[in-house]
Amino acid sequence: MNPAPPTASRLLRFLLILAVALTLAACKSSHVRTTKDFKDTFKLGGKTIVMVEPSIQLYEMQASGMLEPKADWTRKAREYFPAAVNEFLTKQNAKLAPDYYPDANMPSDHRIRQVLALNTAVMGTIFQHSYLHVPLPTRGTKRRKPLTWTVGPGVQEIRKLTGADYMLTLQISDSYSSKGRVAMMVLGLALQVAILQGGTQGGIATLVDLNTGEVVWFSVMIDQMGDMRDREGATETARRLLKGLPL
Amino acid sequence: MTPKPRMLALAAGVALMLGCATQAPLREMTPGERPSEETDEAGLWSALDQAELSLQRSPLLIRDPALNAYVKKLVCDLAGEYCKDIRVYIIRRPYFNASMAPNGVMQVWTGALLRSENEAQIGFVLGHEIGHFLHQHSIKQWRRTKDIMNALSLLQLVAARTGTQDAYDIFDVSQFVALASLYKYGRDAERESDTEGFERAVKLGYRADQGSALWQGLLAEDNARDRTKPSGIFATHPATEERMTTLREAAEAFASAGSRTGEESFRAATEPFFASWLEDEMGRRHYPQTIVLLDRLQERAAGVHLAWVEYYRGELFRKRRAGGDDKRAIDAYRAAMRVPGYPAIAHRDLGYMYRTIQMPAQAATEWQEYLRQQPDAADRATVEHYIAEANGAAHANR
Repeated sequence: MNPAPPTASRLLRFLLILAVALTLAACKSSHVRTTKDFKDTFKLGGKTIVMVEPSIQLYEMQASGMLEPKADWTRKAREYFPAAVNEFLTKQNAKLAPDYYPDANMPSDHRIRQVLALNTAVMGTIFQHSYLHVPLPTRGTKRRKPLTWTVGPGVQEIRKLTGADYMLTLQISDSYSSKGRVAMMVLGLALQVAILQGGTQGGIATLVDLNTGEVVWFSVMIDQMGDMRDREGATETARRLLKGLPL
Repeated sequence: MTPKPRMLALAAGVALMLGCATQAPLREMTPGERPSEETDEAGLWSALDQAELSLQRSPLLIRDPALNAYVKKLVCDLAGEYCKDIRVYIIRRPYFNASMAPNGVMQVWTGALLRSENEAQIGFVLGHEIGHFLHQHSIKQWRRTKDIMNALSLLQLVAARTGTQDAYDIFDVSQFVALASLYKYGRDAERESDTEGFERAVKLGYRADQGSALWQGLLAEDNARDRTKPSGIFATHPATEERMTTLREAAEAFASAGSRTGEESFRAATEPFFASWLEDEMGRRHYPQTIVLLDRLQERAAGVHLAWVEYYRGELFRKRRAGGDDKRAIDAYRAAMRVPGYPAIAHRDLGYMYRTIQMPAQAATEWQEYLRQQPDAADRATVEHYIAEANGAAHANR
């Protein structure tokens, strides 16, 4: 096979430059969706919020794109991020109950663990059907519809324990490009054959009414630039994920 | 322009990358040790620790304290000083499998327990998993996978740039060779673990030939496999025949070793679950394999176990309904009923068999016997409905 004729080569170069520009643009904006889209009358109005233990895992993206879990980064993020969330909410004058972390020895079939596991599953479902809009036969095809998800009245166990009116749950998964990945991304561009994606930050947050179990608010953030390995990055991540909270 | 020399150079470069890919040294593996936090291994552990929490909530987990204590004690006997590093989870899945994660999570599937005839056999399986743990196979495999994927990604970029058919061909071949080397590595690790498990079981005085006896049974099942359905485990493990031979030879070398099989204690521990594991086995719907398994179980079954084996043979034929199966099902249910203490549901399901082949009078007789033996049956109303229906049909036939 002969090398591509000059015109095709020029076109390819143009497309690559365009794609790079678009990718860079995407890097700068995070995508936050909140229930404001669906329901803008809701206000917390001085009710107490408790943050339950967030789920946080950090990875390093290998040259090939494989994700390798990182223990030290994860431990730091598990320290910095909850602190940043508390700081953010305090600045917004939210009424906070002390963070709730289930006792490490609490058995997995304990009611509280079961309710929290259900909540995690519901978060995943909301992400799929209210954010990615994977169709669900029972929910019709209209994209904009009020949040109608609930964890059920079992959440009252958590209210009894913490005294809070609402529960804030956060899930973060975050990956960073290794040096090998960065080299691969640069090489892909230099050879004009591929635009490879680097590490990405993703987060989901929900607020649940601890009386009814109703999910009253949720937010999704996807960001190419976020970094939770230091305090500043954790603060920025908290701000982006929680900025639509109806305080 | 002939691309060949360049391609050859490239292939050589990739081979070099794979060859000298850095492999960090393994840990000493002293009991109770955790990998230090900045390592890739600690990263795997942190993610696996989270997965373990989910596993603990799994509805498939068998929580029965007695069975768990029994298997855990076996693991402890085999693992010695590493006992406290390993946490055992018995998973209700009807396939022959067990697995070991580097953070010490051992899964034992009920299909492996159902297929083991004694402690020596399941001990060999558990020892094999302990072998994976002690030889740190997971982390080795993870590092190899990383290196190979990185090399392949680079090759892919270069091949894409070159854009020649030769380049793509070389990429395909390299990919194939690299992935095959991963499988090969996996099989070598399996062999190493086989040896470890064998030695540990023999050291405890178990009969040396039981590992190969277990594989013989599994091989017979695999040979009966419907070839359109995937093999349970043999894709990633050494070819069973080879494995069996290796184990048999090792056993012959140890002929003077212990004579323990632990059949009684194994039977006592697993007895309460026998019927439910057979029920799960039926759910696989790999009937030719299940027949081989039932034959094997029947050889050793005594007492009510024999009735269960016959009952499930009846269930299998009733559900499969290949030519001649209807009669086989009836014979099997009848055989079950000749064993004292047989389950009353044998009458109910024989009744369903008769209903299927439109023999309502015989069906009604079986159902009545079922309700006589089990007046509080949960499905009493359903069965009474069928009896009424059968009586009507029998009447109409007259």
